[in-house]
Amino acid sequence: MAATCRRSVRRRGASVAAILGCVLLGIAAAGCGRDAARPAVRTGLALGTLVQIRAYDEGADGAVHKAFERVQEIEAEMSATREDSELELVNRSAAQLPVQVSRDTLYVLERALDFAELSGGKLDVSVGPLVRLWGIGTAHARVPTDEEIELARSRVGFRGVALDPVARTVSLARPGMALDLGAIAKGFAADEAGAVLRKHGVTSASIDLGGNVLVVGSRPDGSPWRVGIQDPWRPRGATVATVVVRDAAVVSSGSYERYFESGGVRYHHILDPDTGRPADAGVVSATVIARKALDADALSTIVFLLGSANGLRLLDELGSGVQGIVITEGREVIVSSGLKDSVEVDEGWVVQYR
Amino acid sequence: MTRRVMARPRAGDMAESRRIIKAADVVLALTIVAVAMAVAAAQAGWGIRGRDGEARARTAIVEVDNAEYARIPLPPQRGAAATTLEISTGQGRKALLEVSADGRVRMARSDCPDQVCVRTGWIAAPGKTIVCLPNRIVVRIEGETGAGADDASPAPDAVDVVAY
Repeated sequence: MAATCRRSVRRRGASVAAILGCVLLGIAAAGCGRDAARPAVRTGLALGTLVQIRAYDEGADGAVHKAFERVQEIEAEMSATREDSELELVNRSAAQLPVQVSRDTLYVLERALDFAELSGGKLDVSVGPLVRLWGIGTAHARVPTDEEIELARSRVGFRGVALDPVARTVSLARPGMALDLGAIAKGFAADEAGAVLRKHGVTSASIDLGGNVLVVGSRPDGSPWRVGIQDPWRPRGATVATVVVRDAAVVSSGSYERYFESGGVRYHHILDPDTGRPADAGVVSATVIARKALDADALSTIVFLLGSANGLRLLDELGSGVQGIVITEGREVIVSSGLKDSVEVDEGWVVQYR
Repeated sequence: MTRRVMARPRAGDMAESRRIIKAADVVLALTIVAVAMAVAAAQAGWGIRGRDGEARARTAIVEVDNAEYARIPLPPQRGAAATTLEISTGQGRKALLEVSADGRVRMARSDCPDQVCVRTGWIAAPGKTIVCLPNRIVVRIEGETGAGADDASPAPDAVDVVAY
């Protein structure tokens, strides 16, 4: 610096300014570092689960609040437990007049019917009667009789769901039919929360809707996010593997999260419409990594229902970067071969790539 | 640098112009550096340690139905005994939060059917939560972060968030 300054008296002021500048820059850099480590956080309950939104960009407080409000808006439309939700209005109007719904609900129902078709009816948005019968996750969960299961099954069938995209209406063909968006609404809400954050210029954020994870951009230091996959046999937070991703959704469906026990048997919440009972395809946890959380949410449930071989084959056929990780009852970890470079499996697990 | 600055200018018509940095400039620069260091030290130290050198300042935030219900500084004043907070929700449900003398919190009792909140046990680190879905209560720890805390600047191989 002295060498530069020696040239002219006039540069003297510049040299002091330069020192001042460097020092201020140093302070600013230190300050930024601290801000980056302290995200704007919004936590709350919505869609029957804990929602946690963290954005690491400076001044992102407004954005995370708006993102949470968007999740609450979707809850008001699609909640299965709120009597006043659009979805419940549709359910109460089964076999009556079509019910007009929001653009959000219409879009999610369209996608849900796509996935019903794709999965050969395994993921059926009209599974509501079975969900209510079992009541898993509520205080009145119980094992129904065979007759009850058959009656509820007779009311399930996505081909009885009619959408009119022009009039924006939904109608259910038969009495007793009921829609349930439990396998798709949280994914949609995560996507929409992510869209709100991006619209506000957020480049580094994580959205966690009860374990349905969507990451925006990369970590504040520019490295990819590290998303853990829950170990089904250990307490919340213990992992089997870690996926290393940017701008991606990571969603798991498992039998370990919501269940009840009766007569020494564990009954989990993912119901197979073909049997009317909890799915029994040898899978304990199915995780799907996709661009959109809605896709990851629906597909993780489909893989759980189809089993590891058929489920992962389906993901392969879909292409477009959709990948899966299946943990079986035999404690095998089966990973889509496309994930090889972006998954780290914890020690002690037997891994197969497919 | 100092020596060069303080050296007397060589005789000659350019003498004045060669005297590039005056003593006053050095004093100014050193003052700026000192102030900057003080500011940096304050930023780094005070937030983490607290005025009396205690561990990181944390707060337990209790939310009922997505609205703030209570804010409890952690750890409590030195020498304080364990305390409890009775939580009653708009729907008439009740829960009891316990704050230990060393600044951990747990849901000691709840009238919810699933008891998930009670089984969560003690929490202490920033970013940790206790959730009672049936009674719509969330307890979360906020505060200055350090190694191992959920909100901390992530260690290179630490997991940021877990899908379940």
